[in-house]
This record gives sequence, C-alpha cells and structure tokens, in this order.
Amino acid sequence: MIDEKKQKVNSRERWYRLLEGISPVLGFLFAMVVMMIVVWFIGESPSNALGAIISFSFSQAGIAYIISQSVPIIISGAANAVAFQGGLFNIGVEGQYLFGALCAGVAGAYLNLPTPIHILVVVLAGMAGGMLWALIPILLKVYKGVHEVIGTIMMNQIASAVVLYLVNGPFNGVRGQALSYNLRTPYLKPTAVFPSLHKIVNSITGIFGFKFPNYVAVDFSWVIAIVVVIGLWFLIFKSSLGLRIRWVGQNPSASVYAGVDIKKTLFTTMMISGAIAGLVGLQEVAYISKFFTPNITKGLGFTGLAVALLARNNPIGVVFAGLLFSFLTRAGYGLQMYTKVPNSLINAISGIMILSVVVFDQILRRYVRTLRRKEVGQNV
Amino acid sequence: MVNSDTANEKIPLIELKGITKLFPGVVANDDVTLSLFPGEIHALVGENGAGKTTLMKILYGEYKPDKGEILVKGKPVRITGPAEAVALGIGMVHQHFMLVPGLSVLENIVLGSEPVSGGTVDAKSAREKIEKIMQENAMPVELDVDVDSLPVGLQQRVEILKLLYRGAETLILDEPTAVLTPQETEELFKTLETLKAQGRGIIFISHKLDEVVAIADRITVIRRGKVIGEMPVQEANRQKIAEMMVGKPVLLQVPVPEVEVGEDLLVLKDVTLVEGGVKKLDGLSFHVRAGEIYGIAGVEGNGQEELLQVVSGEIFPSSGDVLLCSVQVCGQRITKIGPLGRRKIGIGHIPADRQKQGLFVNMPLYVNAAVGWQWKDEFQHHGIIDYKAMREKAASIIQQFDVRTPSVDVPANALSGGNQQKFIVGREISFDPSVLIAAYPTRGVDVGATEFIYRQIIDEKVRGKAILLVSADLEEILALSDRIGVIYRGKIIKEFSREEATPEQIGLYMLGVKEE
Repeated sequence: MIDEKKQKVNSRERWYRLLEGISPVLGFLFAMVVMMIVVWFIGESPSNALGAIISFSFSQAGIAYIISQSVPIIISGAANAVAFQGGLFNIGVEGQYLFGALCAGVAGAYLNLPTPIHILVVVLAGMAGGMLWALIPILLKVYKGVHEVIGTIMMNQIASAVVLYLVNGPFNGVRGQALSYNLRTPYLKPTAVFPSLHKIVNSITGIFGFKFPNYVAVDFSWVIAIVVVIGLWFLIFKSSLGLRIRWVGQNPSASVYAGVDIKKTLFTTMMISGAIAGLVGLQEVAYISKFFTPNITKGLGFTGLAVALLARNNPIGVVFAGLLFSFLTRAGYGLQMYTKVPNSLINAISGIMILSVVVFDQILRRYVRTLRRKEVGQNV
Repeated sequence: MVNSDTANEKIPLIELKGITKLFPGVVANDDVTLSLFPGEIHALVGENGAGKTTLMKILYGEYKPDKGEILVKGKPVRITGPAEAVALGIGMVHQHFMLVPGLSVLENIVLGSEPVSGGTVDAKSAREKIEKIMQENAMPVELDVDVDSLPVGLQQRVEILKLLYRGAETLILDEPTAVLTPQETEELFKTLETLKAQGRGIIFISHKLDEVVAIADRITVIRRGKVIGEMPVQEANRQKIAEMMVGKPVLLQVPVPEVEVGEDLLVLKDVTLVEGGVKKLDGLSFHVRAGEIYGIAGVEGNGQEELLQVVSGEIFPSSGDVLLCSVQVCGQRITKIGPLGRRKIGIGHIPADRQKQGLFVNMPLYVNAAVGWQWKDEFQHHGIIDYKAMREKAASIIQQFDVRTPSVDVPANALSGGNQQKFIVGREISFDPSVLIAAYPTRGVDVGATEFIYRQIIDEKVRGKAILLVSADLEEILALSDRIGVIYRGKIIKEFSREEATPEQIGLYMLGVKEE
C-alpha cells in the first residue's frame, strides 16, 4: 500500500521532470513553424524549403558534416555551461579559444617532442591559454567586484589584438611573404598533428552502413569533446566541487551560510570554463589547417552561449544542442543553395528558438510548481 | 438622495460578499463575506496561508475573484487594479514598506500623485496639504529628511500619510506591528484611534492576538480560506481566537523545564565590528551556558544581523573574541574561523531567512538535507557525493520532525513555509551541535509549527546544549529564554533573568530610553 503510493509519487515526479525538461523541444518546434511562415512569406513554398533542408542535411555527407562540425560547438557549449552553472556569464569564451588556439599552434610548431607527448602538450597549451585569458576577468571580479561580463568582453578585444601582434611578430610563419591575408604561424610539426580516427570510427559506423567521407574531419578532437562532456557531467552532478559550483550559482547567500568559499569557487569555475574554452579551436588548428591563423573561425564562443542556454547548462544536453546548431548551420547552406531563402534567416531562427525556449521554460516551470504545491496541499 | 453623513452611519465602507478565489488546486478564499463600517477597526486573523493576504489583494485589485462581489459604500464595483482601489478610497500598507530610499519623506508621500503647476511639481502646495493632514491626525514626521534615515515606526507613519494624502477612507494594514517596538506599537494604536474617530475604516491583519484584542472593534477569524467566525471584541479572548485559528487548543505558553546550567559554551568578549566606518557592533559581550537559552531582544537594525554573522563566522569582528566550548574543543578562540570550521567543531545555525540562506529552493529536498554539513564523511567519499546518504538523511529528518512533503525528490520550494522551517530546524538539530544559533526560528510560521519548533528548541536545552535565540518577537523571547540580553546600537545594554523580565521593561531598553 505504502509502496504503491510511493510508486505513484515517483511516477508523478518523473512526469514533472519531463515537463520541466521538454522546453527545448517545444522551442525548436515553435521556431521551425515560425521559419516556415517566414519562408512562405518570402514567396518560397515551405515544402520546397523543408525538402532542401532535409536532402542537404540528411544525406550521408550532410550528417557526417553536422557531426564533425558540432565538435567545437559542443566544447564551447560546455565551457559556457559550466560558467552558467556557477553563476558566471563567461562571454569571453570567444577570446579564450582564440588565445588558446594560438598557444596550441605555437606549442605544436616550435616544440620538438615525440608524438603522443607532443599532442598532449598541444592540448595542455590550449587549455593554459584559455585559462590565462579567463584569469584576469575572474581576479578582477573576485577582488575588485568588476562584473565578469565587462572583464571578459574587454579580454575578447585584447585577444584579437594580441594574437594579431604575435602572429605578425615572433610567431610569424610566413615572414617575407607580402600577403597578409594568409598570415599564420609555421606549420605544426607532424608529431603534434591530431591523428585521424576515420578508420576506427568507420569500422564502427560501417556496421550500420554509414561511412564518414575522407574530407570530413574525424579526428582526435572528437575524443577531447567526449572526455570534456563526460568529465563535466561527472564534475557537475557527481562531485562535491560540482555541488558547490551549483550552490554558488543558485544562491550565494545560502552558500555563505553553508560555509562554501565563494571566491575560491568562482575562481575555480572560471578556470574550468577557460580551460575548456581553450580547446574549442584545436580541431581547426591541430587537424584541419595544421597551423594557427588569426582568421580562424570566429563566433563559436557566442554559439556556445546559445548552446548552453538551450541545453539548460546540462553537459549531456550540450551534445544535443551542439548537434542542433551544427544542423542549423548546414540547413542554412541548404536553403541558400536550393531556394531563394537567404542563409541569414537561420540566424534569426536560432534567435527565435532561444527566446521561445526561455519562455516555454518559465511557463512549464511555473506550471509544475503549481502542480507540486497542489500535491503538497493534498498530502497535508 | 439621502444625506451622505447620515447614510454613512449605516452603509458599510466596504462589503465583500461571497468572495471565492481559486488557485490551481487550492481554494484560497471560499465564500468569504466581510464588512467594514466607517469608524471601525476590523481585525482579520488567521494562520499563515489561511487566505488573509489573498482576500486583501482582491480588495486592493491585485487579484480578480472567481466568484462574489465587492461593494464600496453600497455600490457594486469591479476593482481591476490598485490605482482603481485608491480612486475608490482604499489604501494598503504592505508588510514590506513601499518607500523609495534616497527620496525625502515629502517626495515619497506625493510620488505618483504630485500636484503639478506649469509642468513642475508644486512642492509648496503639497507641503501645505501634508502638514494639514499631519496636524489633523497628530502624526508629525519631518518632511525633508531622507526616508531611509527614519526609524521603522516613522517609515510606517509615512506609509499611512501616503494613503491619507490620496484621500483613503479604508486603510488595510498588513501585519503593521511585526516590525515595531512595544512603544512604537502604542504610537501606532493612538494614530489608528484618531483615524477611527474621523470615521475612517481600518482592516487590521495580525498574528499577535493581544494586540488584536486591544485595538479591534470586530474580529474575523479565517481558516483555510473560510470565515470561521466573526465577533465583536467584547466576546473575544486570546484563547478563543487561537482555538478558532488552528481548530484545536494550542499551548501558546510552552512549558520550559528547569535545567541545571553547565559551563559557558559560547562566549563573546568585547566584540566590535566596524563596517564602512560605522560601528555595527560596539564592545558587545555575553555568554551562553550549557542547558540555557539566551535570548537577544532588540529593535531590528541594532546589530542583530551582524551579531549573527559574527557568531556563525560569516564575518570576522574588527576586535574582540568569540570563544567556543564543545565536544571537540573547549575555550578555543574561534574568532577567525569561518562558518565551515565552526560547524565542524559544533555550532548549528537556524538562519534568519530560510529562503535566502537556509535552503537552495530549486534543488531537491535531499540536497538541502546536507546544506552546511556537506563536508561530512557520510555525504562524500574522495570528493564524490553520496546522494543515497543524503536521501536517507532527508528521509530521517522528514520523519523525525514531521515535515509534510510528498517525497524527498521535490524541490524545497514545493513545501510550505512552516514545513521548510521544520526541515531546517530538524537538519541543524540532527547533527547534534553543542551550540545552536536560532535566528527568528518561527518567523512567518503558523501556530502549529511554531509550537513544534519551540518544543524542539526546548528539547535541545534539556539535552544540555547552549542556545542563542535572536528574534523580533518579544513574546517568543520571553516564552523561551532563561536570560535575555537587550541589544541597542550594537551593544548588550541590559541583561534580564527570566524572573525579572517584563515586556515593558525590555521595551524601554530596546528603545534606549533606559541605559545602564
């Protein structure tokens, strides 16, 4: 009898959690509906647009691209998510990955080390660069009360300038060549280049008849992303440090009451975020182009912000949100190529999606809270 | 048309008829009927969550009733917002004042309905009008000082002046005495009598039954959204009202057994705290012995908050010492030990604000079972949390301390205030600290839960713990404490034993009228 009641409570609780967690799905569907309306407004048939998206995104190559290109997005999402969990708004992931990528590129190009160690050093250099760029804003926040948004935005600006200077100066790999648009560091030593994982991955996916083409990056950065996601999930939800990070993020005064050292926790959170951010650019630097350039892909830090928001700062959710954003990028290209809908519509759609997720999230949370209150009322 | 003066004698200012308000799953008000006549003080009493505030919010236009009608001076009205309520002559003083710090008293009073001439505020005519109101009602306040610099009693007076300035005939006061000293309360009552004599109607919401009996003409008791009874004050007494409120006789006076006191467990020596050049604590000293409840009485803002922070270790004093004697250590200076370290050597802490400090309200109850005690070996192994142990802990607190919740998995904010508080009290007691800080342990908690919490605190005393009780409720301090220290401007200016303490005497020291 008691067990039966307990079971009922538990199944209800599961239903509540599902309700609370479903907002990203609703947000996505809502954004898709809005997109179709806009497409129709532009004068394209929604079914055409949908067809273009599907055929371009869900071909074998399309899927391969979406998965591969989600790697830096997922890492960036993870960097943002951990900061959000700790109540920090790390808008500086952008600068942190730029500087981290430079450090990784320099470590790969100038050091002479045997191969597995050299790769490890490249990874560590990237993390160190990201941490260094996160260090100043968090010190300013902890000791001087400067809001981290201000600090990190400033550091983003500084990163662009410093990187440009360093690659023009001491780390110039194209000295004497006139053209500045291919400004870059020297090529990474072969010992530092990330190994390709095509064979291994294809031997697994081959079972399901799926092959990643050679021109799609399947490399060591996949392993990095997986380690980051699982490690972060474990840190946040299983470790006591993670619990302290979440406490500080949710309620600083209760954290003080509980004896948590807020400054130390904020510092640690930001360092973890910076270290992860430093890994965002590694796929491009250590596998795709094999050098660092100031013209490296930009904006991944801000995409990661949206990814974390959509995933509600859950590391596992970040994987799905990262894949979704990767898909949206691909869908944008599809629209551009096969319909008269401009690519930039996709940007608007991601905005609508994030807004509607936030709204659905609030509505559902309030609804669940009312349901819970009612239930407590009945029990009393 | 009837002459309005004579009509007022019979027609109520306000009539609420059959008001029903449903919130999802809860009937907040169930067929409530209430009337208020000119020249009447009508007290509305009931436990927390009984539906008093909801009813007043309906009258003030903040909520829309699902059923029922509202009549103002005999005419049915639909009140869709506070602005409309004000236009109908209804005004409300909220429990938390709605004043703008940084603006002067005058500016606060006229804000929102300033007299304008030629596009600028006509401060002169505003001043004249306010001065006239102050004189008529014997409610003097200095108009040109920053409203923030006034004591709480005068801030409340400003709130009332705001209503009178807007011509309110019906005044709703939501727990107006909760923040006042006994003397300030008396002043307020004088003001209310004056307002009453002018033919205004007052709805007075309170928990404090003594005051209700002292000031009200009529009393309405609400329980679970329903009117349980309405009576003229002549027929009422404390016991009767309390019974109606909770539906069963409640021991408001909990018996406190005599316990042989032991050695000093908590000692504060000459503690001074300077913050931003201001002496928040000024050479404060006291000691709490084993088997003793030491109550701190004082008007809010005299250093209680800082005292609690110094004792719990959240801030360190500028000078002076805090000493602790517990199972682990004795006579140790813990002045420079933080909250974590203090918990480890035996201090438990029921915090002043359960929502802001005591709980992570969005996290499941089982996580909240370990707040403050997360460092314990039972909750973590090599930096990995043992959530199972937390669940077990939460379940044992729920069972032992009668916390009503569907499960340990719900977030803490799904619980009612009283149950949240019982959970916190249970948590702190269950870790068996030698010294227990109990800050405002029953604030905003209903009578049933209050009594339960009192019993828990007394049990701790019997077990030989030292309890530091800080409360704004003098009745609570008097009911529980063995010794009482009065805090005034950051100093303990007088200590009373249980026998010699009377509310009047304590009140005089609280206000700094008497000093030793």
